[in-house]
Amino acid sequence: MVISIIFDTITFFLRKALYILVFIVLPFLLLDKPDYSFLWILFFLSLVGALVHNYDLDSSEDKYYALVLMRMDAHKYVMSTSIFYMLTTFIGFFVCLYFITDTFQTLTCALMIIGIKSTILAIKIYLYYHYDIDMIQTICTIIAVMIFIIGFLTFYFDYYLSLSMINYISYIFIVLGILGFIYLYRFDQYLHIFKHIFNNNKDIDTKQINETTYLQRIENTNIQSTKHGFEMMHDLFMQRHHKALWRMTYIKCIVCGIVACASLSIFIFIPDISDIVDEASVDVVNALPFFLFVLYILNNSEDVTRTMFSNCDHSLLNYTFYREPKNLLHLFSIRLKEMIKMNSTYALIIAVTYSVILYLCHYPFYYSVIAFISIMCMCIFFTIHYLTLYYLMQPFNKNKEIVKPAYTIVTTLTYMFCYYMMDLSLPVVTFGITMIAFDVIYCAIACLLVYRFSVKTFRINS
Amino acid sequence: MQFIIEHLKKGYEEKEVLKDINFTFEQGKIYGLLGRNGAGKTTLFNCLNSDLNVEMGRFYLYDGEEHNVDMHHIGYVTSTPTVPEFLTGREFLQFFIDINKDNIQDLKSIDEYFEIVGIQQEDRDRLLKDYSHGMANKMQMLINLIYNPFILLLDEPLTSLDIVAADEMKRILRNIRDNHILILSTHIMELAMEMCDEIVILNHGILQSVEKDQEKIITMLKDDNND
Repeated sequence: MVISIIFDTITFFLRKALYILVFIVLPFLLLDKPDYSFLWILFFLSLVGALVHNYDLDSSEDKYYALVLMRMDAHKYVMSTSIFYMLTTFIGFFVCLYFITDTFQTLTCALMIIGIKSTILAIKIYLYYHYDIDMIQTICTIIAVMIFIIGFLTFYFDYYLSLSMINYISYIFIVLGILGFIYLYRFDQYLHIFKHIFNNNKDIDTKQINETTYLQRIENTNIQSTKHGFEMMHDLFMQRHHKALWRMTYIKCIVCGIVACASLSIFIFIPDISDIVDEASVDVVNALPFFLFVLYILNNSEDVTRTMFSNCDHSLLNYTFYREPKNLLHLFSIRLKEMIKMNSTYALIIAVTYSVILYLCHYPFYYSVIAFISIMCMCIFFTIHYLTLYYLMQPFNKNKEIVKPAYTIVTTLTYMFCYYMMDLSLPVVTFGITMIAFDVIYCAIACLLVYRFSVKTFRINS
Repeated sequence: MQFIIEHLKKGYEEKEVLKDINFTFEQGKIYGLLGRNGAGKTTLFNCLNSDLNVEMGRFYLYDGEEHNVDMHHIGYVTSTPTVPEFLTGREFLQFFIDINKDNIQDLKSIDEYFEIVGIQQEDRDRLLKDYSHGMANKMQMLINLIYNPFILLLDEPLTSLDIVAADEMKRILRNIRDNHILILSTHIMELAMEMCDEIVILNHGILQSVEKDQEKIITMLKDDNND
């Protein structure tokens, strides 16, 4: 137990240190900015963090057990967990930031962070009580994405406030945080909110509720299929989960389309833009690695495989006919084609836009062709990557929880690699051809591995 | 044909669940597998179904010469029915038949199959997610009956079936007994006594055949402590 406590303490600080290193120090060092500018990113990231993930309002097993099964007082539960969370957040950030800046600034930052979390938590509680929780969460996610983009863009282009102004904003949030905490203390309808969260939230861990929420993704429409066998089964699966699986893809297409139109219209309405871009042409022509991170973020294969497991494989894997090698491989190929089709929609918009921009910047036509193929290959790479991981590791157990640490490690490494690539500046021809070749080889190896090992690996975990 | 298990061993961390399983199952019999909670009945089934890797031992078919047990030979009817919720009952059956039509003997129509397990007309085109526990149980059993594996592992197969359906299921199992080996895990003594030709107890990680004597069986199980 002592070792466990020591280990938990060490990992707690390591997580905070890693967060600061990756999201704050690294961009700050790579982009060569003034000393205090990291506070600007910290401020925006704190807002994003509070909007996207708020510990107290997540539904999880321990909350379900405590509040529903064991009928714990919801107010006391929220208060005790909130205070603990704020305290640990404060200590964690104070200790980690102490090595970066002076004591006063460290104290201000740590208090600002918990002030932001407290403020946004209070606002969320108010909105959750009066409006639809799903809608509020969606709006929070959208606002968080916008704040993230604004934060990094302003940081990149040196549009940030002075140190004193940042500190004033910190003081405001500290005060707001106190007011927010008072509101949280006086609020007495937590159980009502949690019951709604348990019923509505699709990102939950409790076995019973998880089944219900994933099953709610199945549409009860009169759908039929004219196909046979696995093609029929897959066709019905996709049709009956059409909204759940394609909704985010449509949103991504719309966003990409808007960005594409805005980018291309600049060339139409500003005739001299290509000359201006020519002067900065090194950045445009070497920006291909950046799209690796973009396509990583946009790829929805992980969510699709989770739905496949939840609503299809977790039951069918109990039948021996489903696990026969030829059937596994047949279904793998059907799913791969469908997922590539899904992810290719927005990838196509990105690929076309970037290719056209390169062409309008007077680069040779083959640059555009390589860029186009390379971006489509990136899309295919991420699709086959996640599907292969699913078949080779099958990370879910009967409760749809991820029980394979190796899966988490691989996905984390994938993220870190893509993040690292984001800021690299490599010629489009070199990087593009390398990416295409890598993708072809990776796809071949992935298919071979699935063929060889999926019979043993693709099964229900205990 | 016999189904032989030799020196099967399986444990979880420090606990040895199956210590040294040795048994020979004969074709044409229904075996009742009894044991206390936590004795390892489901673990044994999962090992035989290759859902779990065994630490030691093997199992094979024997009819004068040894044959490996592969996926075609074993069917597993779980206690909690697992059916693909996004399909209707009819679509699930159609899908299964499409995949296995070369291996199905005496292929019937889908409605005839539904009649076997007593699924009503109005339920056949409903999504499986809307099926009751008992109806899903019937679907699972039906799939395994059509698949017709030589060895059928049944984990509490009659749970949640109504009286009529349970009676029909017992009749079906008796009918297919001759060409199969059926191993039925149950906690219901009366069912074991009524249905099964031989009672097998899993106790302390060992499998042993016992007389069909209720008192003796209870005494044997009571004597030991399954943690």
